[in-house]
Amino acid sequence: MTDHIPEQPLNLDAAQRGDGPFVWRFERYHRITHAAVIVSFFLLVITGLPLRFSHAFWAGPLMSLLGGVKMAGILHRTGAVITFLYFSAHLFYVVRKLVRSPDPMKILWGPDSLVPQPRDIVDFWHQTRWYFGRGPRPRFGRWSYMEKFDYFAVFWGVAIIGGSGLLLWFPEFFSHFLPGWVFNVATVVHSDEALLAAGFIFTIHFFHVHLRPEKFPLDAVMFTGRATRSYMEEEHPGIMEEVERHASEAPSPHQTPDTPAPPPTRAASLTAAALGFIALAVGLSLIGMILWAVILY
Amino acid sequence: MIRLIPCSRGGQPPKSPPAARLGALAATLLLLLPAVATAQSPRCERCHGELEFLRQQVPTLQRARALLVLPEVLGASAHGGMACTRCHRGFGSFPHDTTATTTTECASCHEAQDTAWRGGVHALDQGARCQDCHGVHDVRTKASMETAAGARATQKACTRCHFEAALPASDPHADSVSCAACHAPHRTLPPQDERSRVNVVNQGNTCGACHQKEAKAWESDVHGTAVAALAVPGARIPSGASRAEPPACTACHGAHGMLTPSTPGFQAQMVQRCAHCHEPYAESFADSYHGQATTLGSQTVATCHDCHGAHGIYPASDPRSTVSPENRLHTCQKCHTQATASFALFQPHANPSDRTHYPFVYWAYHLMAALLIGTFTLFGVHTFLWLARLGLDALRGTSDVPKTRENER
Repeated sequence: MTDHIPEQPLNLDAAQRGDGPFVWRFERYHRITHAAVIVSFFLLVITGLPLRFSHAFWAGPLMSLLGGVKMAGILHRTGAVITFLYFSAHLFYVVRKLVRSPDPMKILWGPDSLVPQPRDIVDFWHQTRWYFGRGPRPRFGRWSYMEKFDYFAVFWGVAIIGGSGLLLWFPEFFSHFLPGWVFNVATVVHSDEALLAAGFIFTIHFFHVHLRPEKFPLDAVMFTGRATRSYMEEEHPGIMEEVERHASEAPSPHQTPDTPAPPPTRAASLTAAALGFIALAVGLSLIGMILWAVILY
Repeated sequence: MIRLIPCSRGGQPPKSPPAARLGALAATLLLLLPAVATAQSPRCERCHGELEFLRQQVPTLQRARALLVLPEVLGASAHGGMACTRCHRGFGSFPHDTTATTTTECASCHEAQDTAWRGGVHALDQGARCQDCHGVHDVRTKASMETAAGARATQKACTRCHFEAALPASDPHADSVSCAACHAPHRTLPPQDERSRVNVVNQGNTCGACHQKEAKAWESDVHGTAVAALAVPGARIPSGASRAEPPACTACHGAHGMLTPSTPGFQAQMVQRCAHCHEPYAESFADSYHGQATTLGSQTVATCHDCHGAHGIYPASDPRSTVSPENRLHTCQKCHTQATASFALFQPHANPSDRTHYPFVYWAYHLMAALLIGTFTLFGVHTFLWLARLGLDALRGTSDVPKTRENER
C-alpha cells in the first residue's frame, strides 16, 4: 500500500475535483444496488433491442454475437431475475429502514426524503428562471428533482416493464386469469416503455449526471461513494450545514452520508472511471443504434 | 425464367456431311480394304470400332473420333443388338454409297415421341434434337434415365443449354429427380404456356405425381381453388390476395433451388414468399415477437405456415382452418403446450392503427407514444436550455461555476 504518499485526485471524475476533504454521499448498499441496476439494465437493453429493431442492419450481427435468439432470450431473463432481486431487496431495505428509524416521517417527507414535494416544484421553477437569466440556480438539497425523478423512474420502469415482461415470459400461466388481448397490450407496453427507459438513461440521465459541462466527462460518486466538499457545495448546497456538523469527526468506517471520508485510492478511482467510461460508451453506442434504426426504418 | 441459349450440339437438324468429304473417305477405304462389306455390325466394327485405324484414314483426330463407335458402348445402349444400317440406311455396302444420308429420322420407330417433340419448344431452331438428350450411340434406355444416376445424367444434358436452371446441391431434387419428371420430356413448353406441365394450372398434377398428400390438401384449399378458378373465364381472385396469379406449388416452394425446412433461412424466406401476396399480414407479423425472432434467424418460432398450415389453408371463418375458432387453441398448443382458450385469443396480427378491430392495442400504442414523446420533449427542452444557459454564461464570462471546480482539461 502507498499510505504515505498522498493520492492525486483523478481529475476526470467530477466528484474528485475542487477542494477537499472528501465527504460520504452513498453507502455501500446504494452502490451495490446501482451496480446491479447497471449490469441488469445493459443486459436487458442489449438483448432486447435487436428484437425491437429486428430490421435494422445491426440487429442480425448483434444477435449472432449474443449467441442467437434463444441465447439472447436466456440472457434477457437473467437480466430480469437480477432486476427482480435488487428490486425486492430494495423494497425490503426501505421497509426495514422505515421500521428501524426513530423518525420514519423523515424518510417519507422533508429535506432528506426522496419523495417529491413542493420544494421540488419551486426548484424546478428556479431552474427554469435560471435558464432565462432571471435568477440564480436553485440550491438543491440532498436530492435534486432530477435525482428524485431518476429514482422513481426505476420503480415505474420495473413495475411496467417487469410486469409486462413477466406476462410475456409466462403467457400460458397468466392466460388462466387474463384475456388474450392483454398479451398484445403487454407486447406494446413492454417494448415502448423499455425504449423510453433506454432512451432516457442513455441521454437525459447521462447528460445530467456525467456529460453536462459542470461534470464532464464523468461523475463517479455513485461508484466511489464519496465526493469533495466543493462538489457537495455546488451540487447539494442545501446539505452543507449537515456536512459542517460532521466535519470534525474522524472518517466514518460505516460510510455514513455527510461524514468525512478518506480519499478514494488510486486503484478505486481508476476502476470507477473505467467502469463509468465503458457504461457511457456502450450506452451512447446503443443510442446511436436506436437513432439509426428509427431514422432509417 | 429460363433463357434458351444457342446450343452447340444439335444446333441444326441432322444433315448429310459434305458429299466431297464422304467421297474422299470412301476412296481411301476402297484402296485399303477387301471389297465386300455387309449390313452386319461386326463388319462395320472392323473400321468404325478402331480409333487407331480410323486415324490413319482421315485427316484429323477429331474426324476419326466422330466416326468411331465403340462396340461396348453401342452394345450397352438401348439400341444394343440393332444393326447399324437400321439407322444408317444406305451404308450397307462398301464402299459406302456417296449419296447416302448419315442417319434416319428417329421418328421412323419413335413416332409418338417425335410428334410430341414437334409440338414443343425444342423443335424450334436452336432447340434440342433427340441425340442432345438421349445420346447418339450410347442411347440411354427409359429405365436407366429414371434411376438416380440417370436423373443426374439428364440434368447434366439439359443444363448444357439451360445452365441457369441447374439445381444447387441444397435442392432436395438435385440428387435424384430428372428435369423430365417436372418438365414434359418431349413436348416441352415454356411455363407461361397453359399446356405446360409446370404452368400454374398444372403444377398440382405435376408435383402431385410424387407429392400426392400435399397436392390433395392444396387442391381444395384457398390457393388450390383460386388456381382452379383460373380455368373459369372472367373468374376473380378472392380478396386477401393482392397478386394477379394465385399460388400453386412453385410460388411458395420455388422451382430450381428449392428450400427444405432444415435449410438455414427457410422460415424467413417462406414468410417473404407469403408476404408477396399477403403484405399487411406480413407487416403485422414482422412487428410481433414471432416475426422479430424469425427475422433474426430463429428456426423455432412460429411463422405463417406453423399457424395457417402449409397445404390445406382455409380462411379463419372455415371450420377446416387451423386458425378457426374451433381449431385455434389446438394450433397454439403445438408449441405452447399449456395454452388456454384465453391464450388463443391473442391477436398475432394486431394492427395498432386499427381502432375498430384492435381497440386495446390501438390505445396502448397511442398512449405509449404520447408518453414517450411527452417525456423526451420535456427533458429534451430541459437539457437543451441547461446547455444554452451554460454556453451563454461562458461566452459572457459570467459563469457561476467556482474556479476550483472547473474542469481542468
